[in-house]
Amino acid sequence: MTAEGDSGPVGAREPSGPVQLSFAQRLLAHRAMDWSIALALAGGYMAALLLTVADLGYARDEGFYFGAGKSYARWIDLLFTDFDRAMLRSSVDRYWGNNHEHPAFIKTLFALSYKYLYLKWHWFSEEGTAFRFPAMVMSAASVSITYLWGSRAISRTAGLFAAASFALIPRVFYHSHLDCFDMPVLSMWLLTSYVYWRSTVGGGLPWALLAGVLYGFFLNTKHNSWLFPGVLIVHWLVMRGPRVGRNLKVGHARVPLALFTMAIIGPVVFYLTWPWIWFDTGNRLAEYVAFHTGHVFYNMEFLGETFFRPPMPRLYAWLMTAGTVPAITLGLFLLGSYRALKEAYFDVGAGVFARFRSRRALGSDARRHKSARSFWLLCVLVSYAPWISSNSPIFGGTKHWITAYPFVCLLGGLGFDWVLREIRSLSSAPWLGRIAAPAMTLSCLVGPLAMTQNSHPWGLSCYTPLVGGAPGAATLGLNRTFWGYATGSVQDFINDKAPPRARAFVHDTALQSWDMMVKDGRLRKGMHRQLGVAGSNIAVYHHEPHMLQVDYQIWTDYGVVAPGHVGHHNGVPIVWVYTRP
Amino acid sequence: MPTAKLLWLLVPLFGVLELTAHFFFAGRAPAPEAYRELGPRVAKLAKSGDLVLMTPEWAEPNARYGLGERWMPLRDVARADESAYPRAIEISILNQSANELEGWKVISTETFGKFRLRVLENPAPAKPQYRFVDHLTPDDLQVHLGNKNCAYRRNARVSNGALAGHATFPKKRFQCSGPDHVFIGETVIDSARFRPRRCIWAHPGRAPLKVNFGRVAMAAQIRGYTGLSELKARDGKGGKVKLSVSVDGTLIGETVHDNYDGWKGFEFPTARWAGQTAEVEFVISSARPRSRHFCFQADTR
Repeated sequence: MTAEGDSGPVGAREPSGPVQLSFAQRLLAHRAMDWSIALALAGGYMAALLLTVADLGYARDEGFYFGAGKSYARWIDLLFTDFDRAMLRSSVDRYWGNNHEHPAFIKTLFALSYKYLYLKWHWFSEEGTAFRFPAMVMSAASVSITYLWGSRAISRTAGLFAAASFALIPRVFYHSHLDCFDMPVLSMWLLTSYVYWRSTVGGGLPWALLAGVLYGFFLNTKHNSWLFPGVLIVHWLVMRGPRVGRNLKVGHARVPLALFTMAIIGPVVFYLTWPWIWFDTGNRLAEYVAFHTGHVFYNMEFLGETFFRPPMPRLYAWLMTAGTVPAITLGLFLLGSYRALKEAYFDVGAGVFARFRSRRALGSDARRHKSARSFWLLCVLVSYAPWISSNSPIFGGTKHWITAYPFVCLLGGLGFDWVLREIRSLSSAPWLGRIAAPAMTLSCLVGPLAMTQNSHPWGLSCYTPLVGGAPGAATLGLNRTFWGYATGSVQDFINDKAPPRARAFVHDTALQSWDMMVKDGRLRKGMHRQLGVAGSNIAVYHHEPHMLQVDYQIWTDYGVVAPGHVGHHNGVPIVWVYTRP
Repeated sequence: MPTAKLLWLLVPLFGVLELTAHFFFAGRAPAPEAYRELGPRVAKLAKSGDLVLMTPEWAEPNARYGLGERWMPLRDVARADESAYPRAIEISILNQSANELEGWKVISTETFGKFRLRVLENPAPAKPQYRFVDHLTPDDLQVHLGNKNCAYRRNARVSNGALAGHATFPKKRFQCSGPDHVFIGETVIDSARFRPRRCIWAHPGRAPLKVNFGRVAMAAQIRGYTGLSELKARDGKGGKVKLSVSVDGTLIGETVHDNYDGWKGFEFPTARWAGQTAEVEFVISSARPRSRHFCFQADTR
């Protein structure tokens, strides 16, 4: 790589001279095209999620949120029929007390989807899918926002790559289906970030106000939002550079307007949209904070060890990311990050640790790029930051830092754009210019596409070739599954082999999740589900090492060690079912 | 054009390489159905008393599914160790070998699809004379908690703790007075590294738990293991558990089991009784018998 190859900052727009553009070129250049592409991406992803949702059993936590959603839906009913009564503390406590350890926004969406899309308008024949729908929409929206930001801050091709590579992270695809908080909080982080960034690059008051409102909903989605101010403050300091100190001295610290709106409007929206904290606010907020800062440690397997309590392995987040995100995506992310740092902070071609770039040396486009790319880097760093500590829990696997992934992919888009430019510059032959982008896109996305397709419906069991795929990960002793959702993959066997009026041991599947599978017609009606092995005549076992005691309970109670059916991912047993002889 | 610039082409090539690697790894391990075809092969190789084991260990559920109880019965799958097996049929995939068979002599090797089947011979197989876990009946055994007799029940209430709970309390057991968990009976615990171990459940009570086998065929030693349910031991609650062994009233050895001792072996010499029949008593006690999901296995050899 030489300086000659650096034909300007990656992602810089082509000069807009008096060039004659064809109709197609003008259309492509128009922002409407970006919005069309964004909508098409969201629609495509949504279609993929809807087509595959029925294969996926209900995860443990989904079962709890079904209950919460229904409870909130009853309060919404009351709100429309007896407003005064709905506002009483007794009503709020009764309906919003359910699952009050987590904020309400996304569960309110679950409730609305259930109430309108399932009960009233019958859009869905499956109740569970109606509950999952809002998170699926938000996941699809995240793909769109990734594209929009990438196309605006780098290039259209880079935006497309970023969006597609994000959608094609197998674990993202899995979580995108669920009636849970993980993809919604990712979505809110990304959306709030994008709107904030727009407000700082000429968006003005409307974008700043919108950022404030969105941050309120973000706060009301999940506690990841507590980390977000860290991104904003560091980003502001980075963008203002040494002038912050000078400005502060003279009492004129040009703070972005959105920081004020987020600080003021955000908490108000948070408060207004979470009825549980309308009463006894201080204590309930303190309880909420205490629940998450002192969260119980569930078990998690990593490299053959089961970790029960701190110290947790410091390698966990990094190795799990490397083992679950396609390597081509990560490779391009590293290239993009290097490029972003180099362009924004160091003289191009003068080495990574060359002198810090003067802000004056950056043109306005470059400053805009620097702002976006710094923001992405900070979002990645802050999302991962808790796992630098060995006291942070690891029980949720990769979903803990899932908020980093769209930013990883945006930086991957930057890397993609850079590589594409370099490949195009290899020759002036027109054919290279024509095929470079599609060939590069195909070669960088076909792997992630194949992995994602192969991962379904075993999202949490999926590992990349870097660790030898699922068999390699099993040999290394990486977690095979959790949350009990894999019951969905053995439902046909259960329906076929369970005796009439069977008593089914559900193991790690929450009873509410099992019940939803029955309601949705996935599991046969008439079976009694239970949490103990004794007395059951069909037993499901979801494998985690610390759960093996349950497998042995079944052996000794049923008198057999051979399961009647094994649900597997690429030959690795994940869930198995026994029938009592 | 500088040659170095061609290195940029490695990026798309890497994408293709990762795709190829994905297909390679995804198709590397056989599906459970493939294990069903192993039965006739194993039948040709195995003799009565052979151990059939699967490696890597994570694939064992597939092997149990494919081969069934005939080749992988509970007593083998939840074995105390491999020392008493004269031969083993090792079924392996992904070029793995079982660590527990290191030092055994390889008699034959064959491949079948994605499987490798090896017959291995134990260079010095032990010959147990009497396995205590196989004699948990009133004809062979009397159990007391302190001075109180623990009655043998043929149809006790079976219970198990499900998630984070206790091992199965079997139907046939010597139930002592007091809490349900104080009994002598056969079960399987999740011992060190959550490995299954078929053993004699002996949760200590407030008084010493005395387990008396009346007519034991003696040999040079009594050898065995003690263990606590791994999940329960990790609570760190409860005290150490002491196991004392006496032959015809003579104390021949004691072992103490603490929370993180795993599946802990013991050997007590009994040469002076070798070839005779004797009375063997195990006494299990703990100063703090809370949550002590203690289990032991022993034989004479």
